[in-house]
Amino acid sequence: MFVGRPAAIRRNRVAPIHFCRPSLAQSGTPVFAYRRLFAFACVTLALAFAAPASSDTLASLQARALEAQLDRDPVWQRLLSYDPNDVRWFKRSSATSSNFFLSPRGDRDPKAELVATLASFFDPDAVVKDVEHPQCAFIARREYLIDRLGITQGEMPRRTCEHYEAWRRGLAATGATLIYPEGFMNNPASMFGHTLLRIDVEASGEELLGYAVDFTGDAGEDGGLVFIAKGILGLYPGRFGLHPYYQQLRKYAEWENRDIWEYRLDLGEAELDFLLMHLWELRGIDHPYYFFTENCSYHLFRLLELAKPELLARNAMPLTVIPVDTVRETLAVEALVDDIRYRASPATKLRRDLKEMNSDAREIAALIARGETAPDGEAVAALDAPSRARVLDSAYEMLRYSFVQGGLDPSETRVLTRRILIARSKIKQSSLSGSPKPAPVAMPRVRPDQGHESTTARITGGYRDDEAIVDFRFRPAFHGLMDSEGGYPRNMEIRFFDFNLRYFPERKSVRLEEVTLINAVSLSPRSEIFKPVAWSLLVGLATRRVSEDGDLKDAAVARGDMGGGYAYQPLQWLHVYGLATATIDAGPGLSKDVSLGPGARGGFYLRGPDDRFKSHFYADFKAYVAGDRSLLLRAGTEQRLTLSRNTALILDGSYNRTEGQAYLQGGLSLQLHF
Amino acid sequence: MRAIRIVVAVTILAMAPAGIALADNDIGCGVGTMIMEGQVGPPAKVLGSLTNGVTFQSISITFGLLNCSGQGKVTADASDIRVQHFASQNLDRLSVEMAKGEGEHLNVLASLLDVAPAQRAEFAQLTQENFEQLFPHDQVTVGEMLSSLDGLMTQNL
Repeated sequence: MFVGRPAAIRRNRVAPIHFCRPSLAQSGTPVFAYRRLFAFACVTLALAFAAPASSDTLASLQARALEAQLDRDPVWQRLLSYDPNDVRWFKRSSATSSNFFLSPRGDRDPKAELVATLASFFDPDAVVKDVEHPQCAFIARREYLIDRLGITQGEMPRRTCEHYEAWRRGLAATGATLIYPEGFMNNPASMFGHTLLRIDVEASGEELLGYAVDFTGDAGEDGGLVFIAKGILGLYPGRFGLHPYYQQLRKYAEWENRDIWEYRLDLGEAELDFLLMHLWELRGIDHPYYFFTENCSYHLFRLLELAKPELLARNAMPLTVIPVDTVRETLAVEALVDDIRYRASPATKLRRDLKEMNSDAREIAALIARGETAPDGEAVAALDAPSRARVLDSAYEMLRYSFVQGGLDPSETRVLTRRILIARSKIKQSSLSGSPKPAPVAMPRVRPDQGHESTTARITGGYRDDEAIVDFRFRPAFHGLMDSEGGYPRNMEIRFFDFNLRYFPERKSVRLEEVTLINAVSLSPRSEIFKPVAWSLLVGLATRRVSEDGDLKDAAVARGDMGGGYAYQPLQWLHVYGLATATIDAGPGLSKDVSLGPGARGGFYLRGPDDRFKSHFYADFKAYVAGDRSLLLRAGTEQRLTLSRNTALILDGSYNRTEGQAYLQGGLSLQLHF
Repeated sequence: MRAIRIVVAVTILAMAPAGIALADNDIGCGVGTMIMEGQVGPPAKVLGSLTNGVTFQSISITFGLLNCSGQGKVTADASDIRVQHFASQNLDRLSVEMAKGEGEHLNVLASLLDVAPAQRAEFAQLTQENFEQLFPHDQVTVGEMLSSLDGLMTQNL
C-alpha cells in the first residue's frame, strides 16, 4: 500500500503559473487582476527556481495538470482503466487491485488519482508492490504526464527503472501483431474467436520466439452452469498475461486445432514503447472478467487504443465485445495493419493433405495410424519416396489428432509414434528433391474480418395457415447455418437473444413469436479420422400451436431442446445430418402446463459455388409423450440467395402437422447484417 | 549476451512482482516431458471455451515435473532454460521435424542453440540422420534428447 502526500491545491490554483510559462498555456485560464497576478507570478517564479523538486514544484505541476483538465483526458482515464464512455454517476475503474491506485479514491476519481500520482513521483520513499518506486511502477503514467505537462528534468528528476529496463532488454521487442485464433470444430461458442497480441522480437522467420500478451480470467475449478453464470456476471478475476508465443500457439493450434490469423501492426517506436509501458503497469492487476462485455478482446483492444491515437479517436467500443469486431476496428484504421498471414492448424492441414492423396494412400495412412499396418512394412515400402513421406506424415498427424481427442493409451501411442517417425527419418531430403514439396495451406478466400457483420435483422412477408404474416427478427449475435459462410467456421451455429416479432395484418395484432436465448448447433461432418458427434442445444421462448375448439391457437411456451447425432459430407456441396432430440415445453397455454418427449430432426444442405446460395431441406418430428401429449411434424425448406456480404434473400416454406390438423407456412425475407 | 538477455526475460516473466503469468502455470521447464504428452480432450471443452478467455483449470496441462529454477539442467549454460522450455513445450513438433529433416520449430531450436543460419540445414539433416540416437526408446525425455543432441553437435558441427 502506498502512502501518498495529497497536495493542497486550492491556494495555488491561480493564473500566475500560466503567466510565467506561456509555452505551457492550457485551456480554461481563470481570470484574475493583472497586477496581483504579476506580483504573485514573480514571487512564485523566484521560489520555483530556488527550490527544485520542492513541494512548490509538485504543487505547480498538480495545478497545471488540473488546469489542463488531464483528469478528463480519455488517455489518462484509460491509463487508470476507466472507460471514458462510462456515463454512470458511480463511474469506476475496472481495475480492482488496490495497488493500482495511489489515492484511496483512485478507483472512483481520476482527478484524485492524477494529483496523488504526481505526488508519489516526488516522494523518495514511496514503494509500490514492495519493489518499485511509483515512477517505475506507473511508468506509462509518468511518460504521459511528462509529455502533456512538458515536465523538465529540473522539475522532476527521472528515476532509473532497473526492473522495467531489464524486462525491455529481455523482450527485445521490435513490433506487435494482432493474433486471431478462429473457432474450432464442434464448439460453436469458439466461433466468437479470441484475440491476443504477439510482441515480435528481432529475429525474423522466428515468430515463435515472440511473446503473447493476452487477458484471461481465472475460473478455478468451476465448470458447467456455474462457470457460465459467474462468467456472465463478472465474478471471475482477469489479468493480463505474458507467455512465450510458442506456448500459446501450442494451445490454440496443436490442442484446439484452430486456424490462426496474424494481423501485423504498424506501430511506431514510441507507440510500441507506450504499449509496453502500460502493460508493465498492468502486471498482476485484476479486472473482473465479463464474458460478453469486458472480456479478452475488450482489454486487449484498450491496450491497442492507448498505443494508437487513431484507434482511440474512433471511440468504437460497443456494449458487447465480439473478438472479430475488434479485429475489424483495428483494420478500419488506415495502414495500421500492414500484413496479414494465415497459419492453418494441424487438423486443417491434415484434411487438405488427405484430400490430395489417392484413396489407397489414404487407406494405408489410416491403417498405420490405427497400428494395423507397420510403418516400415511392405505396403509402405512399395510406394515411391514422396508418397511414402506423405503417407507417414499423415499417419502421424492422424494418430496425434486421435490422441489429443482422447481414448488412446499414452504408452502405446508413444511406441507407435516412434516407429512412424523412425520410418520417416529414413526418407532423406535427397530422395525427395525431385518432387514438389507440399505447399502451405492456402489462405481461405474470405477472412474472418471479411465475414458478415455480427448483428442481424430480418424482415419477412409471408403466410401461415392461409393467414398473412409479417415477421421482424433481430439478433445481436452471431451466426446461423443459413447465413453466408465466408469467414466463419463451417457447419456451426450460435445465436443469442434472437427475437421474432410477428404481425398479423388481417387481425392487426402483434405477437412475440419467439425469443431464442441461445441456440447452439454443431453439425461437423464425420470422416475416417474426424468423428465428431453432431449436437444442438436450444433454450428460449417459442410458440406452440394448440388445439382449442377445433382451431389452432398460439400458445407461448418456454422451451428447452437438446439433440445429438451424426453429420456427413459425402460431396463437397452436400451435407447431410440426423439428430435424435428431446424437447420440454412449459407454459400456461398447455392444458397440463408441461409437455415433453423425444423427437428426431434431419435433413441436408446444398451449397452453391462461392457461397452464392445455400439450400436446406429438413424434417422435424416431436413426440410429446408426457404432460400435454401431442405430435408435431414439420417438413420444409429454406433457400438463401446471397446479395452481398451483408445482405441476403431467404425463401422458406414448410408443411406442418399438429393436433390432427395440417397447414402450410411460407415466406420471403430480406436479411441484413450490420 | 544474448543468452543472458534470454534468461533475464524468462526470469523476469516468471518472478516479476505480482507475476506476469496467470493461473495457467505452464512455466515449468518440463525436462521430464516425453512425446505425446498433449492435452487429452475433455468434453468440458464445449462449455469451457465459451469465450476462450477463461482458463479452465481442470483442462490446463501441467508439464512441470521440474521448474526452471535449475533442476535437471542439461549443462551449466544460462541459455539452457530457454532451450529446455522451448523443447519441452514443442517436443512433439520437434520430433516430427527432426524425422523430416526440416521445419519451423527445428529452425527455432537451432537458433536458440546458436547455430548459425548458414549451418541450419546441416543441423536439421544431422537430427534426421541420427533420429534413433536422439529417440533411442519411447520413454525418452526432453532432457535426455537435448543431452544427446548436445553430444551430436559437439561431434559434428
